[in-house]
Amino acid sequence: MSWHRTTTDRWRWLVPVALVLAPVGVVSASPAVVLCAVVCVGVAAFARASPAPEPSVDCERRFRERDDGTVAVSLRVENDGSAALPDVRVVDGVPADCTVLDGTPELACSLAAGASRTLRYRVDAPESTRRFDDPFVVVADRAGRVELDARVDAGADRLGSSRPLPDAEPVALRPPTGGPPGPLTGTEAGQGLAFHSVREYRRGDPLGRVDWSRFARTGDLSTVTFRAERAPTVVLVVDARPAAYVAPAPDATSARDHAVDAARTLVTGLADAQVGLAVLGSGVSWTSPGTGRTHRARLRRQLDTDPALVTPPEGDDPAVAPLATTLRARTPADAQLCLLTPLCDDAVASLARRLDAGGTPVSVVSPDPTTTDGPGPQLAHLERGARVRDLRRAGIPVLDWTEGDAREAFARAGWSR
Amino acid sequence: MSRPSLGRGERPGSSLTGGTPAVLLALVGALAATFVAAVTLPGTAIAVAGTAALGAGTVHDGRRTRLAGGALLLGAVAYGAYGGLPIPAVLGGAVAALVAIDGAERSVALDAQVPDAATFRLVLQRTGTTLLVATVAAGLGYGAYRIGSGQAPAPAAAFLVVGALLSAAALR
Repeated sequence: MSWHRTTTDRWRWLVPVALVLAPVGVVSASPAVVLCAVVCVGVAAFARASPAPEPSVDCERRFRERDDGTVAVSLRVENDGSAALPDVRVVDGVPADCTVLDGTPELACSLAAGASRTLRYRVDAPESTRRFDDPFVVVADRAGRVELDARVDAGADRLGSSRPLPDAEPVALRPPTGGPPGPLTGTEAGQGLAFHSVREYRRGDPLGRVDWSRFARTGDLSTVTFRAERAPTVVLVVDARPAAYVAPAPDATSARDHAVDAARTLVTGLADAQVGLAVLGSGVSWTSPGTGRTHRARLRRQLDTDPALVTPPEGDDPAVAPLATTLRARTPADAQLCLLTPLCDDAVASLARRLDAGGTPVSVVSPDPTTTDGPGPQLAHLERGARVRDLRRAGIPVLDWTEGDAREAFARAGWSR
Repeated sequence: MSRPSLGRGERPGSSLTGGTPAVLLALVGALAATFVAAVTLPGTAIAVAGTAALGAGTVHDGRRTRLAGGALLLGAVAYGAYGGLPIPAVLGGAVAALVAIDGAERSVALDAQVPDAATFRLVLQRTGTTLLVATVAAGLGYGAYRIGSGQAPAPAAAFLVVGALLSAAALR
């Protein structure tokens, strides 16, 4: 790191002032004027004698995501040198489009040898990656005559995921039976709008729920109940096994990456649902279902950073039975699964059937990586088509996605409204 | 390398940020120096002009205006000696003028570099150092003057200044 030196010469002008005052005082025989010159010279001499700082500054930046959708940023500034730094000014390199909500990314202090100070502030969690510049550090001597400035490496400089979530229309999974996204009407009585039943009045029932018409007719108090409403729970299961890392051409986008794009679209399209995420790699990487902006940011981060989704898969395909067991154990009882897979092997089709047969509704979004160029690819194409038909015969809806992006595929299939 | 700065008022924060504490100290110093110099009408006028120039140079970041204001303040204090001010009062006025100049210079730098940082403590430390150095210089000069029973000829004091200048040059 190289420091840029600036000499301010803040007090240099005092010398000519003293050289004017001293003769004036001598000529006018005024000791007070001469002593004014002495004061000026004293300050100028101090400024000249102040040693220029030799800074050795270490900076460390940390990001911590908070539950309220903001990010707490802390920047620790440490004087690594053996001499004190009397005047240190630090400005953290916050991106221009990042809003600081609380605190300040600036610091002005003095640092003893080995001492450190931490500046803390909070920024809005960005929708996409923001790169922080290295903090700008200015170190001055005691008199402010010499200033050294440099950008000091602070380590972590990237905040947020690599891509924003796409805009998407609301998506309904299992369209024939699931209905449109939004509050699901349950079968039990509770808070809601749809009529459920009338029962005998119980002490403590709200007066607004009392059936006053019946009371007027019969004289009996009764209470109207409504069907409970709850948000649907959907777990997106992205197939990232080696068998799913296939593409129609060597330079084409892989089916796994298409599946990730579809998952990102679903995270937005299922805004009214509690959405979870499971990534099938060598094991199951799991994010429990949830709602809200912070949760969506968490899903987005996992989709962008999960090693199984960003690096080419290695090794053999894992056995499906343990994956099914893990998924079944972690999936909430009332949740449905959305399996995002190219359906290029029998194992994943078997997994979908087993889970669906086990009582967890399953729907499949399947980007088609197969081609018909030659007998081998044509055979793979036919086998995949057979798997799609088998699943549909088993009552599992399959979105067979052959072209366009995920949003178009959902619209074409009627899954988005 | 350009120096980044953040616009004042973009973020919530204490009012004692950036150059504000230094401006307050500069104001106190300038008022004290003006008070000392206000023993004659010309001295008062020069001191007021100096304070105004110092303030204008601080607000509009004009270094020459600030330096001219500082020189006028010092000149006004020195002129106060002809109005019959005792030597300690003149020296106190000179120290106050130097504190005002230091505060003005510091406030411009802090406003440009860290306008939203809390700077009160740093300004107290650094301007306090200037105050201490100026007071020590004034004390030593006055002590030397008193030791000579105040009867030392003015040329002797001039030699003292020249000697101090040579010492300063030797430290370069």
